[in-house]
Amino acid sequence: MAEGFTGMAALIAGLERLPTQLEHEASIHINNAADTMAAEIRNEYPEVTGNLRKGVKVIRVNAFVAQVKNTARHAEIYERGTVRRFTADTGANRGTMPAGNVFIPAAIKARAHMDEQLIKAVERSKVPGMTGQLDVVERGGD
Amino acid sequence: MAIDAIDDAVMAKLQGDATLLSLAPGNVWADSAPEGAIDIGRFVIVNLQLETPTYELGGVAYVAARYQVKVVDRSTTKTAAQAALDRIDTLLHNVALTIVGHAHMISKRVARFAFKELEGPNTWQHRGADYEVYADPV
Repeated sequence: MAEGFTGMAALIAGLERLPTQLEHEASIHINNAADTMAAEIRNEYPEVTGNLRKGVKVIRVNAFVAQVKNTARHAEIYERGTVRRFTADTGANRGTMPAGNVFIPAAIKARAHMDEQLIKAVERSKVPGMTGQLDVVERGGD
Repeated sequence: MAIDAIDDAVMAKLQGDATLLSLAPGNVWADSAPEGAIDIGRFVIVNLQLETPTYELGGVAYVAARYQVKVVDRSTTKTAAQAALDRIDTLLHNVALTIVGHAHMISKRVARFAFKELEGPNTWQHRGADYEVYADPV
């Protein structure tokens, strides 16, 4: 991790201050990810009544937690798809509704980009008392 | 190498299971079921939500593919659809897949959903889960 440091005490003190230094940048990345995800989702939704687009909300729980939700009543069934519908008397096809695949893919992409930005932020950090660069190693998932 | 090999592996796993086909006689379909499938019986729909490659050292280290797999049944109760979904789970959650051109890493359920759709006098049960499949191109 470190190519050299002036003293262990200085290194430890620098590492202990690191979270504070990173907080501001992390908050920016987290909130940007939520805003970007919301914008992508709104853009991907078709516009008929506009309810799907209007239903997309970003809720800022705190500086480090943002939720993206769609409060439109039919948001889930749009995402998951419904069965083909026929008008009973005429037999006219009212159209099938395959899975929309808008919200979940956007969430996956936004989260991956956010993780990448957060890792880079840690790796860019300068720890007083340390030379060299931090390296973030991801442990295997469960 | 076909980059949709994981799709084929998931479909083959489900379509090749006699127990699942007995629970979902309307068959297993990619993206949408044809008209009349429900007249044969409840059916399964599989669709790819997103597949993302992870690059290391200039190459693809692995790919992560997420699928929505759901059982659709015209019924006022969830029981039969849920039984089919439970069978799907035994086939896809923490089970190895045979994927052409890839070494299977892990398959796991990452979400579950359920809702009813009302269409005139008909009630449709949608019961499904999302699965992530990780595979290493070889």
